[in-house]
Amino acid sequence: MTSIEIERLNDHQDWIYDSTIILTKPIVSGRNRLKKMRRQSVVKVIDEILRISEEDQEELLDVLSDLVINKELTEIEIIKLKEEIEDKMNQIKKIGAKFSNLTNYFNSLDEATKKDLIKLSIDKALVYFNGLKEAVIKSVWDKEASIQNTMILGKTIHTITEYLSKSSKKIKTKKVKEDYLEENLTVALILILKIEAYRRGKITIDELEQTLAGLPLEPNRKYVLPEEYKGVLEVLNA
Amino acid sequence: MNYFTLDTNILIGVANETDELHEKSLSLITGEDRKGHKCFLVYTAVREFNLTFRKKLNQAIGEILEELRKIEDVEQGFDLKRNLVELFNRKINQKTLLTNFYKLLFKKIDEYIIENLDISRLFTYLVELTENLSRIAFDVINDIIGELEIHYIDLTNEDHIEKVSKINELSREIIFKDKTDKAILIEVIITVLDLLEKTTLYSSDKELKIKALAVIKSLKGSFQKIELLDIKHIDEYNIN
Repeated sequence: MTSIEIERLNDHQDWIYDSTIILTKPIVSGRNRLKKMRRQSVVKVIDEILRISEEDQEELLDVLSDLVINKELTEIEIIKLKEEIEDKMNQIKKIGAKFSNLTNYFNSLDEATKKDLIKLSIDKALVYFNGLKEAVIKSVWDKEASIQNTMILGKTIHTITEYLSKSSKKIKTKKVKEDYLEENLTVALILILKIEAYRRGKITIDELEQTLAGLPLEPNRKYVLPEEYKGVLEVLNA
Repeated sequence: MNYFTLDTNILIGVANETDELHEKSLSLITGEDRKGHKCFLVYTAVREFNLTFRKKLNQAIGEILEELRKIEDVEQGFDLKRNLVELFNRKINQKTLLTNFYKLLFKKIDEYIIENLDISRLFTYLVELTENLSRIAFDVINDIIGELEIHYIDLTNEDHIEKVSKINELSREIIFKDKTDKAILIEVIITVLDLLEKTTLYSSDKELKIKALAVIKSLKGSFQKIELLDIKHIDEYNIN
C-alpha cells in the first residue's frame, strides 16, 4: 500500500517534472516572452517539450533520479552531478536533441533576458515547492501518516525552498555565464531528484535525512538564536 | 605541523556538555598542550555526527507532533493554548534530560501562535523549525574548533580512487562492525597521504582502534607514508 506522504508526492508529480525542466532549461519559462519576440522556432520546441507524453516525462524523471542515488553532496560530487544531469538530458531518446537546441537558444540570448528567465524559473519552482511543502506536511493530520517520514520529507522540501531562495537572490547580482546552474541551484535540483528517487522507491527516507545531514547550511536566525543552542543540544542525551 | 582528527563519538562529546567524554573531548581540541597541533575532520565523521543529532531531534519533536495530532481541532485553534500548556507542563514536569529542550520548544510554539493567526501552518512551522535546529550541530563544532577543515575523498581524483581501491583490497579481511567507522578511517588515511603530516586519529571505541591499527599494518609496505598516521583511544590522552 502506498504511504500517505508518497501519495501526496504522486498528486504533485507534474510540479516535480515542471520544476526539473525549468531549472535545467530556463528558456522554457520564457515561452510567452519569446512568442512576443516572434521567436517562433524556439516557441515550437518549447511547446514540444511541454507537451511530451506522460510516458516520456516518466522516462526522463526515471533516468535523472537514477543519477542521485547514494550520492553524497560534497562540493566535488555536486559539480560532477551537474555535468551528468546535463549530459543525460541531451542523450534521452526522442527529446534529447530538443533539450540541446534549447540550451543553444538560451545561450544566444542577451544577458539581461537570460537573467530574467533564470529568475522567473526559480520563482516558479519556489511556488511549486512551497505548495508541495504545505501539501505534504498537512498529511500529518491523518492519523495513519508516519510522523517521522512526513517530517523528513517536509524538511527536505523546506531545504529545497531555501536553496531556491538563496539562488534567486544571488542571480540578481551574478553575471550570467554560459554555465548558469550555480551551486545553490544545482543542490536544489539534486534534492528535487532525490525526492523523485524517494517517490519511486529507489532510496529510503533515511537517505534523505543523511543527505540533509551532509549539507553545510547555517541555521536561520528566524528560527533559532545562538543563545538557544545549549537547550537544543540536550537532545543528544535522549 | 602535527594534525589530529576525531571520530563521531568524540564530536558528540565535544557538543554535549553532559556527555561523559565532554571534558576530555573539549580538552583535546582546546587544551594548552594542543598549541601547534591542527585539527581536521573528515566529511563522513561530520555527517554522522549531524545525522545522530538529527535523529534524536526528530525523535523528540516527533513525540510532540504525535501528541499535538491527538488534540482535537488543532487546525481551528480550538482550545489549543490550554492543551499545549498541559502537554508541555507534563513533559517539563517529567524532569527528564530534555526539560530545557521542551521549555525552549514551548517558547517557540507560543511565540509562533502569538505572531501567527494561521494555526493551520503550525505543523509546517514545526518542521521548518526542526530543520533549522538540526543545523546548529555544525555551527557548534565550527565554533569550538574554529577554521574547521573538512576533508573528503575526491571522486574526480584518480589518485584518490586508486588509493581507496588498494586500501579496500589490502584490508579486505579486517571486518568492521560498523561500515561508517571504516569509511571514516579510509577518509583519514587518504587525507594523511595528501597532507604528508604526522596525524593522530582519536576514537572512543577500543574495537575501532584495534581494527584501525590492523588496517594500517596491512598497508605498510604498500603506502610508504602510512606510518604518519597513529590511532589513539581517547583514554590515552591525559588532560594537563
